[in-house]
Amino acid sequence: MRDSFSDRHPLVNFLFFAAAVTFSMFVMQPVCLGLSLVCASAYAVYLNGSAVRRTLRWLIPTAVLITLVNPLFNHRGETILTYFPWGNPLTLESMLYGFASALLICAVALWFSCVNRVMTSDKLVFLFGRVAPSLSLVLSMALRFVPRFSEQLRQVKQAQACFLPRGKQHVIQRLQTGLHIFGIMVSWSLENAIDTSDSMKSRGYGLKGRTSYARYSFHGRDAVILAAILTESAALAGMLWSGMLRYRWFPSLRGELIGAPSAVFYVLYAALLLTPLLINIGEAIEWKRLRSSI
Amino acid sequence: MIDFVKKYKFVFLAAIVVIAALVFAFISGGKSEPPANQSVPTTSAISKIPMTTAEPQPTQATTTAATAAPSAQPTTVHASSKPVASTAPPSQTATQPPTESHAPVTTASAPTSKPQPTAPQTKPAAHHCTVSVTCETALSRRDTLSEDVAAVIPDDGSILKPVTMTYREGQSVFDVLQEACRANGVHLEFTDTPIYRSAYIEGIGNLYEFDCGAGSGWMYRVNGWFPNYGCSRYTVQDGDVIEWLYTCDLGNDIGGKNDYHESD
Repeated sequence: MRDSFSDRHPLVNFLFFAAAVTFSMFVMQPVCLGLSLVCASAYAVYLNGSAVRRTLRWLIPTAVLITLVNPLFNHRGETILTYFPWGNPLTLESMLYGFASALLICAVALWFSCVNRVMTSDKLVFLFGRVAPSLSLVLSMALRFVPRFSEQLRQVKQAQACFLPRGKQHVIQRLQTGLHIFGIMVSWSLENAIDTSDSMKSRGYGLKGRTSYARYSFHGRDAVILAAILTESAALAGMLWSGMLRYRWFPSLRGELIGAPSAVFYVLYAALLLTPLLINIGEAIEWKRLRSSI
Repeated sequence: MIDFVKKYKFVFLAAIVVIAALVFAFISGGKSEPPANQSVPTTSAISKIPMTTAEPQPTQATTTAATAAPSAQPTTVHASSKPVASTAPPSQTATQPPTESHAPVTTASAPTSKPQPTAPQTKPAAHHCTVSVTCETALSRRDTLSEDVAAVIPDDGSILKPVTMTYREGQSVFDVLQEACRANGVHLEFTDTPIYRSAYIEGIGNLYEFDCGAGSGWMYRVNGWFPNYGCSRYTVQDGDVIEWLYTCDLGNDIGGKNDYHESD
């Protein structure tokens, strides 16, 4: 599916994700966690379709692990369910807190899966190429590295398979081959990085006065969206600062979940997190209207 | 490489066996039996850790033990407990516990580190002590604390009212506290490595160390004296009054000033 949010100016994309990830990480309140998780998964499904399943394959076990591990190390809370064999209590609050932090990690991971799709490396270089040339180059190289590495690994494995005798190998032999391939990969990636940086240097990347072509331009629509994101973020940050969204997990769960001021926060938060989907829906409606008017 | 492994097969095997033995020793060593606990006060007394426990009837204990075993054989470990300074003021016991006076007593009983099976029968089985947990220092500072911490502190500053606990021979203050907390549904968190007997109380009743500043935490007092060693190293004696107190200033505000801090 075509994502209109990706067509907006990179600054808009970047600021949206910065705000979404920051608020998701720091607002540990049940309703806000749920909102963030729902919005993140909706956008991730919209962007990646059924490929989200691959992310979920490792995300769900991680979440379960966090939920189970937290009570082992965290014994705060006033509702004691039972005692561990080594004497410390297992509390309800620590389990709930573990579950909440698992949800938080899921939400942030899903947001980052969206970041990977939307913030392509050319956008990163466009945004930060001037301010921090080497940092943005390293960042874009690092983002490109993992898919390129796995592709190269596949090729090297195939080539190595030609050399080796057929049949089942001894564990130690397989270990040797693995080490060999690993060595090849390490030298390949180092050489590749040097090649890239040499190539960029010879083109005068990061030099003063060098201009670069950018296919992004800042439209009026971008300004409107940017203003919306900034005002919403400022309002949310202000409300958080005033402490009315405070939620206490230990020793007992306490905090105002329902109420006029928190409802305002929820609406603003949902509006901020749904920005990309709302843009897409708006575009779809516009497109339908234009088509029917022909 | 395969040859290498084959050649040193037995070396690898031996290493694995040694590691397995160490792991087994570590795990099983954690469960120290009460009689093993008994032996430590004598050894620790030799290494000059003060062990001023207040025995209610020390003379009676020694006499009954003596009648049970009239031979020259030294008797129970209870005989080693200091018969002096049972009602001494706390400041006095805290400042000058490792005096020379009870050193001979401990050395006399040192050879019998093994528990004697006759000992429990000669003594009447009346093992009681009192445990209480209070946080009055935190209560007096309640207004300066954060909302979450203040919510934990009870209004009368008492997390566990004095309760009389029955303990088994050789149990430490830590064991008794744990049992008292469980019996009364009071929250307790600690870190403990049983083989080192290094129990440390992190929080009682959800009031934790560092909740009232960098110098705050839990300390224990037995019969008015703050032992300067861990609570799992103090073997409870009959009639002990154990108090767990919350300090906000490294013990200075509850009278448990530590000698180690005085020096620096």
